[in-house]
Amino acid sequence: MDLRQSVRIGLIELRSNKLGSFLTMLGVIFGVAAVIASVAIGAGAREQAMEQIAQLGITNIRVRPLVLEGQERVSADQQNPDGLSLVDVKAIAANCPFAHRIAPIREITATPRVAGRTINGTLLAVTPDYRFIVNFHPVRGRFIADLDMNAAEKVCVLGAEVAEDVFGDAVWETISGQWIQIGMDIFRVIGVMEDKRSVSTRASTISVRNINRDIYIPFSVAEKRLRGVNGESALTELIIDIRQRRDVRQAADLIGTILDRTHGGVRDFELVVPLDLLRQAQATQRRFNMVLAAIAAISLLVGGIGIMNIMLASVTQRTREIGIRRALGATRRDIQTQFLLEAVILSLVGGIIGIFAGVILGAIIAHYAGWNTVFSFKAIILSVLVAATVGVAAGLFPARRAAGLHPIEALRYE
Amino acid sequence: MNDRSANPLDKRVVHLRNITKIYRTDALDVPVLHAIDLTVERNEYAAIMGPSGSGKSTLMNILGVLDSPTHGEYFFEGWNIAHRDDFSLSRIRNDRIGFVFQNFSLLPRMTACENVQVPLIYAGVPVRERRRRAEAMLARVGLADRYRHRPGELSGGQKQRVALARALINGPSMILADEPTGNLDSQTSCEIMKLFDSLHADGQTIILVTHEDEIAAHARRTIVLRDGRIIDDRLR
Ligand SMILES: Nc1ncnc2c1ncn2[C@@H]1O[C@H](COP(=O)(O)OP(=O)(O)OP(=O)(O)O)[C@@H](O)[C@H]1O
Ligand SMILES: [Mg+2]
Repeated sequence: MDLRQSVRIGLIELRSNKLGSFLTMLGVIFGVAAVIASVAIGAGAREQAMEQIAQLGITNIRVRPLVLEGQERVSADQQNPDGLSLVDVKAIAANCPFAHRIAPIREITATPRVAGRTINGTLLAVTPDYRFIVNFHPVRGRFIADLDMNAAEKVCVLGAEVAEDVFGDAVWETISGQWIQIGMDIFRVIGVMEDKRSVSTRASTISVRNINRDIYIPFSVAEKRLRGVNGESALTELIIDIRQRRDVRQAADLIGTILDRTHGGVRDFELVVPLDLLRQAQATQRRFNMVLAAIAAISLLVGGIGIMNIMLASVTQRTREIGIRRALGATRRDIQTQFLLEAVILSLVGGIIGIFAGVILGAIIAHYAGWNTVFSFKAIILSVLVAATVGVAAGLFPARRAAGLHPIEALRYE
Repeated sequence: MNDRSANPLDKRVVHLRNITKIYRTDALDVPVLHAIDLTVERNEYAAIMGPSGSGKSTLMNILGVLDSPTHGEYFFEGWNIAHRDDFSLSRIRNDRIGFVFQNFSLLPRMTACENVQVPLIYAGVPVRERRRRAEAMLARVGLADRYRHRPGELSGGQKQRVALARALINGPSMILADEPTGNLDSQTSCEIMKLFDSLHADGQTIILVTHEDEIAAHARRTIVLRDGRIIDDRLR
């Protein structure tokens, strides 16, 4: 007996009991929908985490000062009143062979203005290496150069959004050489940075600043002219670029040791290692996947039991039909195939509805929670295969029972 | 049956030798057929009669290889089919035997045309040819205008015509009809029997079970069962 005919017979059967078939499919529908939606959400979260980690720089180590409280603060003030400083930069450069470049960053709390108008931007004093370490480059003009550093030139480079705010869509020629007032000094605009709008809008454990709102000035200028504007001699952040990715972990430990020494044992800093964050994200992802798999397995198991249940009922209901088919020449195998196929159709249709439901569900969640979702073709194929397997597993026992019926007893069944 | 063709030297479609059927229930064994010897040749038209419970249906089921005898040998078209497996017995039922039941036994959710096609499905006939042959056969039993009707939309006589078309569709060696007119009024019974008569005239082998003499009168041979034994077997 050909497969197409079996499928047709199966469809006629299932269509004759639409509501029952649908209710039976619910388990599979939920199972598959849960898998599709959560795989999409998981993949979206993962992509986002990766993006943010990549933005931090995978071979970078960041050192940030910690604000201490109480007794710790007292001892920190005694042992290491400068906090994170250029002393640390020198110590790391001298003692950490893994370090390729080191970028000290100091945030200046002065308000930048243009023609008396306040600009919404973050002032950062950086060295020329900064752009290589964070892989962030100017699109117009140039970045801070060694010359600017040595001469402590009062120049600045604007982030894309800052430039847009201040100059609108003016051409570079009219922007170049304009002046920005910071504190008591005026700074010449020498460049505009590329637009690195973060794709993500979703809140995340790894916070990434909007670097499009940064304004960069030479570090040496901050050191000489802006020192003491707010009494800051300390660094806001220290980024160390490690030559080899495989050395990052070891380098982080070494830098921790060096800083402990320069800070007299006071832990007034924290080390942020994006590579560690990546590993954490991956571990979280694995746990998430496991929970997901468990939920899916339970839903599909329940769905499978539902299908088995209705198939057993169907075998009883259609005992006479089985007898008639046997009298007309159906072999045991024909009967088994027919019922097995019905179970598979049931779960496959459920699976396909589940895929649509999952995509819609994922889209709704993504829309309302503001999460990223990534729908993968692989997950969809996998769902179809799993649904088919559930159908076979659930249908086998009822199908065997149907095939095992004695023709005469089946024909006599009332 | 590896070779499904009849043994050409054998005119006997059915040859039972010393067939016994005992139903084994939990409590006791119920002997239903005792040492039945029976031969039916090609193009015979036989009626099996006998009181209720005498074993007529049991005998028909054994003849139709739906059931197997407890003892004895059954030669179908010259081949001993005592120890055939499910597959080859199913093949015999499919293309050598046509069943007609008292209660019509049509599949309720299928149209007349689809019902007639069921044996062809199991014979592996392609869908186009299946439909063509089913429609031709329905026309032959006088239902040319009822292809698309479901059993629920047909009268008893029409249902039995569909069942007969289904029994004939694979060109069987014999038709087995267990009380084919049992659920029909006398007028309709008469029409159905005329159909059987014309099939016999075309060379079909027919064995039917009946309680009624008028029906049995259509047959050329009458076999009478009582308590699982053949007590009379005569030609008219
Ligand atoms: N599965 C079974 N188990 C036990 N006994 C059975 C079984 N099937 C049939 N019998 C018995 O076998 C005997 C013959 O039954 P069968 O159906 O062949 O009678 P019949 O001649 O066709 O009767 P009727 O004219 O009423 O149709 C009956 O006594 C019946 O009770
Ligand atoms: Mg009977």
